[in-house]
Amino acid sequence: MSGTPDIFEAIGADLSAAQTKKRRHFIPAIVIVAIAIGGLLAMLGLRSDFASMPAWRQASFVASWFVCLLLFPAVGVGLWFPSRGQKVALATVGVLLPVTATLGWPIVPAGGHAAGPCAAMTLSVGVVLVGVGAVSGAFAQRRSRSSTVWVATGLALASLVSVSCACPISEIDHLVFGHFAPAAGLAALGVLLGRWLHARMRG
Amino acid sequence: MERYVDGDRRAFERLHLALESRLRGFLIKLVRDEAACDDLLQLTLLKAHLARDRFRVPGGDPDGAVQAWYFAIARNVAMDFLRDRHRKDKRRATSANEDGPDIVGELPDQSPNAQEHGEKIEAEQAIVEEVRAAIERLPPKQREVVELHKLRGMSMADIAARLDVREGAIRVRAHRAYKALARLLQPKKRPLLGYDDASTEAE
Repeated sequence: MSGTPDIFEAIGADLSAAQTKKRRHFIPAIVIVAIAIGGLLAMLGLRSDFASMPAWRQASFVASWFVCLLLFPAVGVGLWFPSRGQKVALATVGVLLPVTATLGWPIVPAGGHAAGPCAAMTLSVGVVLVGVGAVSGAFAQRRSRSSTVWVATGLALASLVSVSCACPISEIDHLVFGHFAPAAGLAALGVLLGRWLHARMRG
Repeated sequence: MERYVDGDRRAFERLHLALESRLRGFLIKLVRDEAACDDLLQLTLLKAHLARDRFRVPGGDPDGAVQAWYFAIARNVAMDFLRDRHRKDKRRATSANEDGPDIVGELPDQSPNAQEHGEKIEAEQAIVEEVRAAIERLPPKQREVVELHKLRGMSMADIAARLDVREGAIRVRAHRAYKALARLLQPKKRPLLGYDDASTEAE
């Protein structure tokens, strides 16, 4: 580095400026997503048993928001570059946290509650979130197409957590068909949409 | 390199650290001017930075591709510098002989005009594309050896150690690969009277 400080610093500054610009671009998108989720929770209200939940479960919900809405998209749009090991850890924690928060402990056996309304809600919220991601250009920020997985999964998990925060039913059949399955489908559709947009925007 | 292209400053710093001394050695070898080498190195890094979106990994060896890409840019920068220096030397010789007979001026101008220069660059690019396409058509094992040997400048012994294959086998692969390349790059034999297979098939 000794002989080339000028260009080294100039390139570093250029990269930092590009990152700052990218950050500024995505803050409004995150704010819109937060408003959409806040609106949903204001409309439906927090689940009635939220206050009486054990602290670990409440913490899991809060951590899920942080991981799904900030960390996953940050990796997807190239604002954070974790190592391979960190990525594996983040993906594991990022999926386990919302699932654990939604399931709770002990797992409640099947009770026959209808899954339709929650599935529709998860899909509706998810479509709005993925739509915001698509319009903001989040799916085509990085060269690698695998970045779309981070964005789509983060947004799908955020919709799962949103609905789980509002729905008080903890029966396993309801959670599987009304919460987890729609969120998984949404993530898959988000990845497909993201890849299509990536191919369109980056060629 | 992918991370650097996506805007990771630390990835650029690591890449710079890994390549700087090798690029400097390469440039010194080409221009034999230590004083100019720093400027040329800076120019190489700047050109690579500005063109970083165009970087592609052609084979299965990303490290080799990055190195080959930087070295190709460094080579072009060095060639431009040498051409420029040659022109300046020539001009200086001309002005030094102003009072006496202009011996250099009487010599035919060897430097190409803009059109010839453009045609030369196009022809060179066509050759590069042709060679690249021919390398792509080689079987993967042979292609790997050619890339490591010619693009990364590794010795047969180093390639053998890296691929964990006997050196003799690597030499056989290289021999076959170069033979195949020679066959692929042979100028196509044009039939007499403009008659060829394609036109026959079209008929």
